[in-house]
Amino acid sequence: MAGWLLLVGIVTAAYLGFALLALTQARPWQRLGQTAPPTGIRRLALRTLGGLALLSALVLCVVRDGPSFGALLWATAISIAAVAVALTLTWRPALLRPLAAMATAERKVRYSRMETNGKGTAKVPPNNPTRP
Amino acid sequence: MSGPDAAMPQGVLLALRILLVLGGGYLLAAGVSGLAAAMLALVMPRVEAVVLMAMLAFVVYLALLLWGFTERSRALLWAVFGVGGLLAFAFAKLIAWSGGA
Amino acid sequence: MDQTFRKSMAWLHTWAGVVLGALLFAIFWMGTLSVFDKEIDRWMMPDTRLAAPLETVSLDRLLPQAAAEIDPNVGLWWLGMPGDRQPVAEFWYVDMNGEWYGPAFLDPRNGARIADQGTLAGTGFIFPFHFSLHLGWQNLGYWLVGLAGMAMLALLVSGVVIHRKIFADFFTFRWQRKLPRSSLDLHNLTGVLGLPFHFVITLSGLIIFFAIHFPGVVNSVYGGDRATFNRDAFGSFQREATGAPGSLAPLDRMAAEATRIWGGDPPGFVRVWRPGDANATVEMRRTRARSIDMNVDAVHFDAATGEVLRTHTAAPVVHVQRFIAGLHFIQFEHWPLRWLYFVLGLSGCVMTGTGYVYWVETRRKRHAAQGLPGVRIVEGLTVGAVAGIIIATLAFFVANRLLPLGVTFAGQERAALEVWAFYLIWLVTFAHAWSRPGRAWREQCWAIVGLAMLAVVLNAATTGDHLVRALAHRHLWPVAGMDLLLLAGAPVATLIALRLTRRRIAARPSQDALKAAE
Repeated sequence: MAGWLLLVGIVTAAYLGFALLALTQARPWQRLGQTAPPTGIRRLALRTLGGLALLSALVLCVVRDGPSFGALLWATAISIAAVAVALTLTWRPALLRPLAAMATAERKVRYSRMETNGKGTAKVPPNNPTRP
Repeated sequence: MSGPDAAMPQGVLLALRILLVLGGGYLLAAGVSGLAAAMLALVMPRVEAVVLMAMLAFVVYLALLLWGFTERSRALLWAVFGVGGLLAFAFAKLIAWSGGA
Repeated sequence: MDQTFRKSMAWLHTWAGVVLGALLFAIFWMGTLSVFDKEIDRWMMPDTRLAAPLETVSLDRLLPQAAAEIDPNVGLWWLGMPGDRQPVAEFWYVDMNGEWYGPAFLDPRNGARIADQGTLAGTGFIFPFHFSLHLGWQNLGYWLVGLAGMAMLALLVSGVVIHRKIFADFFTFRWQRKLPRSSLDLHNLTGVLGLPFHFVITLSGLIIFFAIHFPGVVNSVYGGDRATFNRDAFGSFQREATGAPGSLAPLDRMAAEATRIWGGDPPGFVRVWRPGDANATVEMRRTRARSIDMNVDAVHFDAATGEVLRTHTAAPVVHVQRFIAGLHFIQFEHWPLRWLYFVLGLSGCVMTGTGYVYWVETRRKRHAAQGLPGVRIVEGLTVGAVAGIIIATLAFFVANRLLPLGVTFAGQERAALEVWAFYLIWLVTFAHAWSRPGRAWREQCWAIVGLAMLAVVLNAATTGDHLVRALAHRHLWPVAGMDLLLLAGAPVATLIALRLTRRRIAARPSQDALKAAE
């Protein structure tokens, strides 16, 4: 039972990881009906979170099956997860909207905070083009 | 592309290159790996030397294949795959006939 | 990057792909099926669908009982222990001329021999096809597979080099676009995201047969002495027969001793060399079910006394080779990994198939205008190599359910007739593909749908193990899995049939983009 739960965790983490990474790229954002992916620190945050999700998938794999089976499980599972993200973007892009919305919603907060810190970067345009 | 090469049709040149790279590349990969295994067998267990070099031989062959289809100098190709391949393979065979390292 | 270098790589990728793609697809397809070779065995050999309790297996009961039915004067008995994926024990023997006979399947509960199922099935036909193409002469099949494997590695490297937008297109599959674009997207998607798997599975497949592909490397150290090499590397060991009769000490006690030596891992298979001779040897090989590597751990016993003669375990580099081999062979028990390998194997098939479709679709107009035959030839080749081998495989399954046990025809036994069905149908698909250009894809996809459904129906009708029943019993899950995959394949084939024949769909912006633009 624990094995199955871990497996669900692995698949979820790997899928989320690649979904977050996809949200740093131009084409996936187009598929979501928006124009440009986040830039600057937003993109860095998405990448970091995506990387962490993939890393946590690896940790779960090793916890489940030990280092050798775990590493193999991870290496094969993430390939499939990445294909799954791509197929989601092809046929059901709407499924990734909540994730994209979270990304942009948080962005506003971060953006205003950066402004108050006086560190607002010129890279982020004042009129957010990713929100129609 | 000068000298006698220029007189040969493209198709023949291409077929020659494919034969040279596939065949000569194999002889070179097998020969070099065999020689390396014979030398390594002096410093490590014999079976280990064989298996190590036999595994690496595939990687060597792959590298030779990729290089052989991108290198433009035909003279260099003939030197490496033709002459080098035959020499390495023959030398490795010689060691094998003499009973191995 | 240097443009001439990229051009050379593009040339290599295109032509190695077109020339060897059909062979690569066959190897990938059969390899993918081999992931479930033993499950296919259960489906094709209904009498071996046993609910066997594994604890009761006694070697002392199984082996002498199996051997009693054959010539006592043989060179070797081989007994494969039943396991999670194969509930029956498997018995082979080798006669004095080195000829192998088998397999005979034994009920592990009582040692009873199961009636010949008249089929080579997954482990006897599909799996060996994957690495030998069943071309035994001069190891020709192994060499062709080796060549295809090297080409595959070169294709993967050159494919990465010529892919201009490898990261921008990382998650891109534009299904709605025209066929050249969507097939290239799918080719890139499966190629790039499956790259680690495809590279490792191909290289490991080659490395398994290093001694066939690079015999010179072995010889340059061992001369021609393969026996010594096999002893050093794999722990092969035999003794000269004396000619005097000998006895056989209890095998179960030897198995217990081997299990103790291996820290609890039982034997996976047992060999008895020169059974009946005073110098007979019993060889126990450690199970490969519990770790990734295809271990070569062995314990050799004196058959008469049960005394340990020799133990073997792999040296470090050999162990690496066995680990790489194990990555490819997946003899371990790990269901999630088995399924992941299956899906990734299919992704390799998709990559090969879409590569062909892209080649054909980007040249169709030009070849038609210039009167070149290339597209017509390659399109027929593609249909036969991709859809055709799937149809032939399904025909193999259907023939298995239609032919009565014990039937012979034109001097051919039942198992051979199934194989004939495979090859004849495959030939027919090529003939069909070349004679009906433009329609062949659609028609062969529909044939796949029909045959897949037929196979499921025939299994239910001839064995009674229909899907509901199979799902309800753990020991029938291999049968259920096969039926489910056949049923899943049908709609996929339908989808592809429709997609490949849908022409001139304009690139239209997706609904989402339209909505967003409002």
